[in-house]
Amino acid sequence: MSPADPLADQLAELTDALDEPGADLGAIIAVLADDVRGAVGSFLGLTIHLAVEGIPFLLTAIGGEHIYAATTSLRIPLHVPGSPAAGHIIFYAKNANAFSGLAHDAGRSPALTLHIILDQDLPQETDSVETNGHADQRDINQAIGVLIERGQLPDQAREQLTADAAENNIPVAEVARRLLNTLAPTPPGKTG
Amino acid sequence: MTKSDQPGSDGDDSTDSETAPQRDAREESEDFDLAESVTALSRLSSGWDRIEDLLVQVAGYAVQAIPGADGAGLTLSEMGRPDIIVKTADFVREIDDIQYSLGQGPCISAAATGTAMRSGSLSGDPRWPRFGPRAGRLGVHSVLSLPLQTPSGVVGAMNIYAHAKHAFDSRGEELGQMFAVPAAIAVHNAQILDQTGRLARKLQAALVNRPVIDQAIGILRSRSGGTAEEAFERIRSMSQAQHVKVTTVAQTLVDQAVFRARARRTSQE
Repeated sequence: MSPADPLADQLAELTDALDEPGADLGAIIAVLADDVRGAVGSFLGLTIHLAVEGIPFLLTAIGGEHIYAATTSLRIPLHVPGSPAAGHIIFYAKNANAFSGLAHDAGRSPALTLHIILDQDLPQETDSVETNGHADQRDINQAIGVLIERGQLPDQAREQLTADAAENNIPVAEVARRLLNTLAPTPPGKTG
Repeated sequence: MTKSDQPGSDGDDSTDSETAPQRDAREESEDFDLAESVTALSRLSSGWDRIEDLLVQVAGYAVQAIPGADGAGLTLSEMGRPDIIVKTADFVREIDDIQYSLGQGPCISAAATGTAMRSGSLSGDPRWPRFGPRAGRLGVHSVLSLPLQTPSGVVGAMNIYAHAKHAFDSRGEELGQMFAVPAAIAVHNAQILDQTGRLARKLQAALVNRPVIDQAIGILRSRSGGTAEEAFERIRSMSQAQHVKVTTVAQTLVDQAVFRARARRTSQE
């Protein structure tokens, strides 16, 4: 599966969670990238880093491996007052100083209450650009739902998954996926 | 390139009666107004919470920078279509509403062609045969429409209006174009920052909502053994049938399952 497929799937699932008519996160990101490209000719791509209640989520939304050619980066905080989530978006460009104008304006906006950072996030070849984070949380939460239906309370379900992961020396997400794989279809004539 | 040599536009005849010292003094004053407006652009990023507020400021500075202006409107484009439209005065709102409802007018032409549009007698201007007369009946006779361009293309347009006929001359157009260059960069950067904030809010809302949806999917899969997609479609169907949000349905499913789990534990104790 190419890197573009899990990205599209993740954005589609997140768009579903928004449940807002006309809202399409993939389209919103595409428009943003298009506008940044309009302001910065050597724009290469962007990554989005978010954490919700401590659980990280990384999305390389545009550019993929092309971002390794970046000589400049611009990190803009993503902070919504009152929200449990926080993080940042990083833009990448090939030409040095490409973001100086945008950085100047971003730094003066009262809508951005945290400091913006230039050129501290240049990607290394060893960094992964694959999307991750959301798929693991999706499977873990589905597994929690399975365990709740089987009679466990949510905290107990999480503890069981964590304990199984430690016992088997595998990630919690892998425990979750193994559990989901055991679910058998209901025979015809019966309902769930 | 401009479209100044069109019926109804001005040339330089509005200031023929000036002496040379008077012209020098006027131009010096206009240059000062332009410089002040451009300086204000570099500082405006510190005074806005919504992008519309910033755009109104930019439009206000345009009125200050261009001699003869009575009001201004500013349109940002997104994917080639007008997206955000602001005005400095009510009459500008009326005029631009007419323009966009007709799909015809100087701002639309300026954004589409990337060239400035100037007219000193809108009611008789053949370029906009439906818009022009309606603007004239509202007492607005002069317009200067300037595309807002970045190196990568047109990001919108700025409309400057005046009630007087032949209010804008070639020098006014020149001053407007000089102002439009930094204005375009300022509003485009603001648009990027605004979109970044909008993306952040939506992503965060989605990430906060998604766990309960996934738990509900797990509950349904545990009952039926179906796929995650099938379970989500059931949730979506319930959402549509009950006219509530997907997250509301999901939360209800989870709450009911937790309630049953608690009841089961209680009965076993």
